[in-house]
Amino acid sequence: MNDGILLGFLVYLGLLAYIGWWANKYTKTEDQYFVGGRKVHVLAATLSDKASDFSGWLMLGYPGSAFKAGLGAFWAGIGCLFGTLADYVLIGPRLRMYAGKFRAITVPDYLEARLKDDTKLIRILSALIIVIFMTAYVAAQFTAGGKTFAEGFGVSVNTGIIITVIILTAYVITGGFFAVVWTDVVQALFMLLTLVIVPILALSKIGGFDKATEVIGNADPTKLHPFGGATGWAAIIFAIGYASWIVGYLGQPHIVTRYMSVEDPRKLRRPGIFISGIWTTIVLWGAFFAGFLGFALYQAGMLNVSDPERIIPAMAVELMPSWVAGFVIAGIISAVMSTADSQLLVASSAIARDFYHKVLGKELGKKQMVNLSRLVVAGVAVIGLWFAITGPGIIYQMVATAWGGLAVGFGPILTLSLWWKRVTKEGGIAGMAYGLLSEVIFEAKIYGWAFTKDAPGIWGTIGGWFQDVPVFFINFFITLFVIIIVSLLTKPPEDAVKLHEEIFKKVPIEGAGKKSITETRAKSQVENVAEFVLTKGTA
Amino acid sequence: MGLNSSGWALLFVPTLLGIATMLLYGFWDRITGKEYYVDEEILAYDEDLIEELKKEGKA
Repeated sequence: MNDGILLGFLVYLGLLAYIGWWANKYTKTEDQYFVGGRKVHVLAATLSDKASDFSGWLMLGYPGSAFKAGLGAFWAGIGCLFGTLADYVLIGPRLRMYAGKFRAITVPDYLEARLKDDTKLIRILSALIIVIFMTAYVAAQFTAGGKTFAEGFGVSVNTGIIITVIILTAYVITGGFFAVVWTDVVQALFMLLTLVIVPILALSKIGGFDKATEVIGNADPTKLHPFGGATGWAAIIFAIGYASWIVGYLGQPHIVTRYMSVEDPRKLRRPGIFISGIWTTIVLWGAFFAGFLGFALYQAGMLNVSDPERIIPAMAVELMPSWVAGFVIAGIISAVMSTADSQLLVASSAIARDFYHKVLGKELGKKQMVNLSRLVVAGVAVIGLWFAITGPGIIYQMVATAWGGLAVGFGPILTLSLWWKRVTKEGGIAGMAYGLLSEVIFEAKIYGWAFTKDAPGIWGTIGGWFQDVPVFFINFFITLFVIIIVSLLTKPPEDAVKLHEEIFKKVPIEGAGKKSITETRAKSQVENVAEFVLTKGTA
Repeated sequence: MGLNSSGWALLFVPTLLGIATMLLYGFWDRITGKEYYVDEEILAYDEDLIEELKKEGKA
């Protein structure tokens, strides 16, 4: 094991441990454990949003895809950038406003209150969607952690998975949302720097961009084609297949919960979208070029890599000084941890709060609820560990499957409930039930994560039309259609329609009776942290 | 060798469109002169947290 790599990684671990310890001081209630008291600084909320969003997929799955497919894989980055922007335009501010009004802590809290569902079905469906697909998503992150530890420290993938689970579970259990948000901020910065450094070093190693494209073009000219060599309808399907991630953004509970926690919904417009958008643009370019240039290094005989998804850790270990490699390994683990921690927290809230507390109606004290949530985090982590060890081990595919289930289950109903006053609980229940069942059946029994002509019977014919397009992309629009039709056939409560019309009213910026920034919010988290450090020290 | 023009277009056109979207949405309130009405009811900070911060003299 290389001492430089280990040292870089230990410094990173120490930082996480400190934040977990600090955050524990502020975690006394469910409100604080799950949404940070709705008072998280916009910088933390938005960077945490992106760090939670971009996972091992960004550091391993996406570069692996760029390695295998070449330039065409950039369409996936385009889907992710516009998905991020769509979250801010369509979901963020409106969800935060409703969440405050309803005192909602979780996405199911919000949906139940917005649709005035007294049957508990929306909460039960939400909890099922979250538990099934979020656990699968967490497992994908554990696998990514395992691959990174294997490449960086020479341990087996399974040992790496177990190390990932132990570190992650420890700080989520300790600190809850505050720990997750603030470790996410640190991790977002690690990820950003990693994805700036790696492609630059790769470019310098190969001898410039022209040389890289020459090597790639000699190996396979389709890797320099924007549609992988496809033309006509096949080119459109190719682009949709990669860019389809965009619709999934509207329904990821671990991402949209960040908007529910932000101190002021208006700040998601500015500076929120700029922080997230710029960060996203840089890391997507970096991750793409790491894989693209990694293929050139591989073809030129400068790099050996056993699995395309391990291209970034392999570049770090084989091409960089050990202290830089330690930094890069920490950046990759950051991406894994920052997503899995948020997902563990959301899965925990689905079981402890949405199911145990709200559906079963069990009352516990505030402290006991937090402790129950911590127990659930440990339970979900153990199940995720089992899936990670026994699963297919391909991160891109594992993430697409889980992402799809959440996208179809929550995306259409969240979007419609925020923008359409006519949506009804019957529409929501029908859409979510269809989304859950169809995703499980299509992904587990018929197609896998993407359409294929190899499926049996009529499914094979349909699969041939959309070859390699993820199942969730088509299913998203079918679910949207189901909700609209059922809502039009039923009637929403008048008070829900009235509230929807009133809550989003806009007022002139000047003289709107708005309070000043210092009046409308008490001190932000950044101010609190700064004062805490100044008055109490860092020990 | 480098990329051909369609390759460069794939890299830059969506990125520039993304930046334009950020600018347009980010300043939409300034452009229209209107913004959502937000009050204490919507901000809805956690009371226990505010209490805790007040006790520590941080709110």
